Amino acid sequence: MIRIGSLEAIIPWNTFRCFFLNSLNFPFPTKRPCRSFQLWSRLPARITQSLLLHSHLGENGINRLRDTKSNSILALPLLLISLIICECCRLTQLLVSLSHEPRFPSPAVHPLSRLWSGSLPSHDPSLPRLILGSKVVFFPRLTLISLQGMVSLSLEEKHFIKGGIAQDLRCDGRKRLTCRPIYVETEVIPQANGSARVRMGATDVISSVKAELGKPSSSHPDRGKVFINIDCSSTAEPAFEGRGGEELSAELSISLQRCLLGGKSGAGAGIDLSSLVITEGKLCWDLYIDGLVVSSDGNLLDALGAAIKAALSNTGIPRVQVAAGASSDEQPEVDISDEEFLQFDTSGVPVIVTLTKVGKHYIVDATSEEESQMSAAVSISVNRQGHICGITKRGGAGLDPSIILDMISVAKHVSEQLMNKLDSEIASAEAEEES
Amino acid sequence: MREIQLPLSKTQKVRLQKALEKLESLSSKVNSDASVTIADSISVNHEDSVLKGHGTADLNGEVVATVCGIVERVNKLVYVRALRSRYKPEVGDIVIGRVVEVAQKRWRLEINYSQNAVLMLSSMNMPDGVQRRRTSVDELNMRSIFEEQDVVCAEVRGFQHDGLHLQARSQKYGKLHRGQLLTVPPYLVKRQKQHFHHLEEYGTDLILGCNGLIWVGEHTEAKDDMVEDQVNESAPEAVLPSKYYVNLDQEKNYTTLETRKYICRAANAVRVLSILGFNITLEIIKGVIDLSLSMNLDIHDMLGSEFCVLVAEKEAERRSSNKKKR
Repeated sequence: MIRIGSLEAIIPWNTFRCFFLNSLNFPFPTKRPCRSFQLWSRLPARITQSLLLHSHLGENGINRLRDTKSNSILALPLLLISLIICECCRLTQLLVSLSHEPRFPSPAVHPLSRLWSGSLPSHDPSLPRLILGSKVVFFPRLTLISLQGMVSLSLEEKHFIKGGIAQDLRCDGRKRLTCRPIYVETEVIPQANGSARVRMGATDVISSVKAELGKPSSSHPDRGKVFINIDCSSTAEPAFEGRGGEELSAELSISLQRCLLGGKSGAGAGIDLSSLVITEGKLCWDLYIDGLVVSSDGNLLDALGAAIKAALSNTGIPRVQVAAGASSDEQPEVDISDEEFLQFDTSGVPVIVTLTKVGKHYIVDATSEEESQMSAAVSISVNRQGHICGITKRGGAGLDPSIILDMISVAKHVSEQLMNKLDSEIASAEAEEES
Repeated sequence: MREIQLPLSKTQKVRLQKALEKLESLSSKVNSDASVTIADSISVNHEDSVLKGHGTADLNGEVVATVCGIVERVNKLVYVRALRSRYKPEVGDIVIGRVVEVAQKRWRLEINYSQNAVLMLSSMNMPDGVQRRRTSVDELNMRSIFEEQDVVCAEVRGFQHDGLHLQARSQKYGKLHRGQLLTVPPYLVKRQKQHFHHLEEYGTDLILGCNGLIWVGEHTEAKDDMVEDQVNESAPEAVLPSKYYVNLDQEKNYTTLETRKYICRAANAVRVLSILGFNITLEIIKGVIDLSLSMNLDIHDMLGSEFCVLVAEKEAERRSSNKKKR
């Protein structure tokens, strides 16, 4: 049943689904449709608000919308559906246009598989035609967790910040596409295999890499495993106290996983998982990458990305001797060397560039004040070859595909500078550490 | 001393070290026994009874300091004033705060003190400049004067039974427009004769709040239009603050690029000084701005380590030359 104001209409689920699918030209996972919807139902908190404001849907309607988390999906207001469809169309359009771009690497990952949050089998032979943007790993995320609301600014200050961005002179004198100076320190945690601290202005993050022996998963016996976990310290922001930082931590971890680890098939990954295998199917390294936000002044994702890159380049993985002659079905005995360490290859690890859209313009390396004024932010991870490894989007506002394409080309340009700066900083940090 | 968090090359490190040593040698050693670090014993005359105040503790019959700071004595009371702490208001200080609540006849302001300050409706001038009793209509219109999150400048009036009170009895106080607010450690701003500064050559205003909040903004003419037209008095409902004309959505209304450049430059000068931990006064800020202008430095490069080291060296030079003059 769909209701707008006083109008009510009962639409059977199948009709609705067809309508939805047709408008998308997109395969809908037939077995568990509701799960996919959960994802969408998370998206439109902003839209819900505007619904409340503009179409005068009563609390009732909104409550029903919340019910979508259970199975009563049919109560979605039509307006919302059309908004979702708009968003989806935009997305597909974007993916189609991206797929015509020859420059992107071609990981054979269904671009929308992440979108449907695992409900879509990624190697289903019945899907080939529908892999629309097979040339790019695209992970649209439309959650609304952001640092908004933590910063309090008066109208006047907001006006000043927006004016600065419009005039290409931000509050600290930077241009729209200038980054803050970045400062890297390595080997900050002696117990870890590799660690680094990255500072950009008042943003301060620490990242550590710990390698442990583990067993490869049965589905990918030729690959190691990488776990990324981010923690927001309550020293960074009073709001992070208790469980307050959890939401942001989870969001950052997921974004980083998407930016660094590539798609399900492993293509597009910044970290070469196959290099972590010791004995295929039996023994591999598990990398635990932990990040800690010590102080937060915006642009956490980029800083964390840089810290992880620096930590990985600082990582030494001990050389392992596998005792020969072990029978094939039992766990092989290993001898872990204390002296010999293998340097981790980080040439493929991308940097993340977040473009924050404020007003009509977008900026890099936003401070938390600027972030509080954003309408949307797109984080693009770019590797050394200039290939896109992942994209995530934050913020409630929609973006035109042409703007995203524009952002991507800008991000490529910015990432080149950032990559060089970061590499030289890492090199000097390591040189300092040795001296 | 607190470590200065700057990415420095080796030569820069040496230079900064040198400049800081020079500064340290210049500082007066007169009151060195008045300053204590943690666990220093404080000499007291045990004949008289002693009242131990903040930052002191009793250890084996001896009074020791529990914070780093200056020993202060008031009659029997002995306490230690911490060097790095929250702002401690004194009557007459000029502070900048942010409105956190609009309450009955008063605004509550966050001023970096351990409690929120109170600004009564009755202790501020009405926007129209008319002096009269505040009516209930005025009370209803309070949000048209200051809203939540607004940045407001006021003076410390004193402590009353319900906390710290502020007042804003002149047109120069009140809401701050068109600029940015900076936060520095409050001990860097010392109380001076003048806290409102107009940098004429740059067309900017600079307000150094004693509580470590510093406002850098476009210059606005603060005129005391006291009781110019008595006509307004007849219609107090229609009173809107004269400054409320700003239409925030219009792009034309943005600060001009030229002024903005100077605002950003002044703001970065304050940021540099706060990184280095130098006192913030008009003279020093102007010096830093002029230094950056004479070097033809990009505004955002002012926060780079090279410029910071340079500022430290200049400051050491300036102080030593000041000392020689005396």
